[in-house]
Amino acid sequence: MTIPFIPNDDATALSVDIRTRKRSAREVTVAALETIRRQDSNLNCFTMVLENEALAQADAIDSRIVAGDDPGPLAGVPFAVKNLFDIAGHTTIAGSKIHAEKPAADRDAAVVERLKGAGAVLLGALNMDEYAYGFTTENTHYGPTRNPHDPERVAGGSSGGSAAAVAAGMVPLTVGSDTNGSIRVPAALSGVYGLKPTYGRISRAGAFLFAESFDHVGPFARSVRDIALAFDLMHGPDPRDPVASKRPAEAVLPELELGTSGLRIAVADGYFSSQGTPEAFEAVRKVAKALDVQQTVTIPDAEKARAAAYIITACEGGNLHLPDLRTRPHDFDPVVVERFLAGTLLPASWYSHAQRFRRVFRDSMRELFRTVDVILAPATPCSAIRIGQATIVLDGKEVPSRPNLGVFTQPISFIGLPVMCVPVFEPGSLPLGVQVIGAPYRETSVLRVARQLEQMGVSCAPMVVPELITAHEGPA
Amino acid sequence: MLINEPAVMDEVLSLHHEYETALVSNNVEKLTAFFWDSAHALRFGVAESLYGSSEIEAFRKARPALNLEREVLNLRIVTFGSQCATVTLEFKRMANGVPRHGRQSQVWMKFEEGWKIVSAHVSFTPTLYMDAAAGLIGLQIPAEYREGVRQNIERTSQIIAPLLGFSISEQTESAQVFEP
Repeated sequence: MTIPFIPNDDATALSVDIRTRKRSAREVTVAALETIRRQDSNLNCFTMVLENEALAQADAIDSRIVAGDDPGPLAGVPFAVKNLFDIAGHTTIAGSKIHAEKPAADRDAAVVERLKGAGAVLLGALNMDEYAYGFTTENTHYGPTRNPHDPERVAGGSSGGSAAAVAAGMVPLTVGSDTNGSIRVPAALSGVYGLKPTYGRISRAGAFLFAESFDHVGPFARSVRDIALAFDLMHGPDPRDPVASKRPAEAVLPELELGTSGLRIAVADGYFSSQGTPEAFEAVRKVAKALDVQQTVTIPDAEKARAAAYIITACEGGNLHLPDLRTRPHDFDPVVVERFLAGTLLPASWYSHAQRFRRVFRDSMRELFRTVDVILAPATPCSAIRIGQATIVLDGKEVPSRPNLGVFTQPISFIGLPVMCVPVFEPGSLPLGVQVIGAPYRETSVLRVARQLEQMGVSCAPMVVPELITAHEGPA
Repeated sequence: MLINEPAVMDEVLSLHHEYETALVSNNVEKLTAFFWDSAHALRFGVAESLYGSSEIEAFRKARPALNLEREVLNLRIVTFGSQCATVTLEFKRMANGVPRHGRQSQVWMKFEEGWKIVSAHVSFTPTLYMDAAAGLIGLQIPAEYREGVRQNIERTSQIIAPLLGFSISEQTESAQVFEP
């Protein structure tokens, strides 16, 4: 027997049901596995499903509950992680063929440990762009992840499997990583909530890096409270991650319902109000209107921030993979290998200039946050592109689609600001996302705004079952 | 004066083959003997300008016998009468781990003691930044990715242009362990 998820079944609700024995962890796990079986041959979110391990874990949770024990706030909640996170006993492939040859991880990544420690049940690993270098999850080795809202379109990337699995209701909670937009872009294009916390707040221990200066870890979910809960469980100091902030954890959940009063909110203009489709800016206007925001703010030198992020990413990513690029370039995904090769060759002065500019930009943003608490900006310049679509038209100019999906996310992750991507739907249209950007360590502010928008119905992340929307007719 | 008289062509061609053999096996004695023993002899190498037979000989003796193997392309010999000839060719060889293309020109004169090279010039065609940088880090870019990598570097240079124009105070250092 299967009990399908209903849209309101977020992780929080499921966990309450399981802890109060309205359902068992096993029932929920079986239902999730069934949903994956039904949906995933089409959507291709999972690269590994841990059926037996998940059922064993669910049974253990049920036994503890029966014994009167509280397994934690995520008791029995199914979750899955981008396949760059270590799962003990399995190989961390990071979207690649090369790393599929490596030995199994001997320990879970920090975030996997923390979520399991709160009772969550790990169902498997999720598809991504190879080594996270992409915004579309068009992975040549493992196939593209399809957007549940339109399977002919990309789910966004690089954490595409993480976003689409939540959108399709396979699991209510996933974890991804964001270096230049890899949580926010797929959250926007797949229509789910995605949080990129402040740099260093969630441990990266046991996560395969891409560009160390910018790599962040964060959750995806269909409700803001789930994001808050997952953030509360995952963040805080970790000696295993050299860049983990020593700042003590600050729980968001207790303040989630405080509303937006007292928060100075502004819409980013200039760079963030051009080079996008009208729909992308309309989504921001809709959010601003709902929050009664009239103020605009100019993020200085955003284009330079994006350029600097681009350079640092290319250099760090290229250098990380240089040994394999020397000896086995043909084993890389052809869609990313040229960028990695080019990244190994960029002049050191570019890299140093970009790193020094990061401090300049951080300082001017710190200054800006003296006058404003939360900034609104589009997440992507357009809604999901078709799988294989090489170009998009922005401001009347045809530009390469894949790198340009990140134009609005890159300057923000460049200095590690916390951002919640909130999904916004227009009837009959594909989802879009709005970045709710906060000052460093102010996850609470961005989640309060997101919660307000969710409550007002301006933002939502409904579960979407593609077979009910459109019959998929095979690869594009 | 007869141009390209077959007998003269044969003579020069066989000397060219001998020269190539001596070159790739780094037979210093033979190579030195191919050049005119005169202060007027000249050899412009890839990186060196050698005036006179003693400078040429000294260079040959000091040269490490590495990667001398080369593929000769487009060999052209033109003879002028029975005492003068030019030998030109293009070549491909590895240098610092990178395949390079080069050109070589020689002027040969026949003296009482036989044919000698009186003047020579060897050069590599200019390398793309991409190939030079790849060579320095021991990377070989597969042929099918070359154009993509070249375009990528070009696009990156366009993206970074406004940033490079932004002047940063000398007091500003990068944040080593980054704190937002």
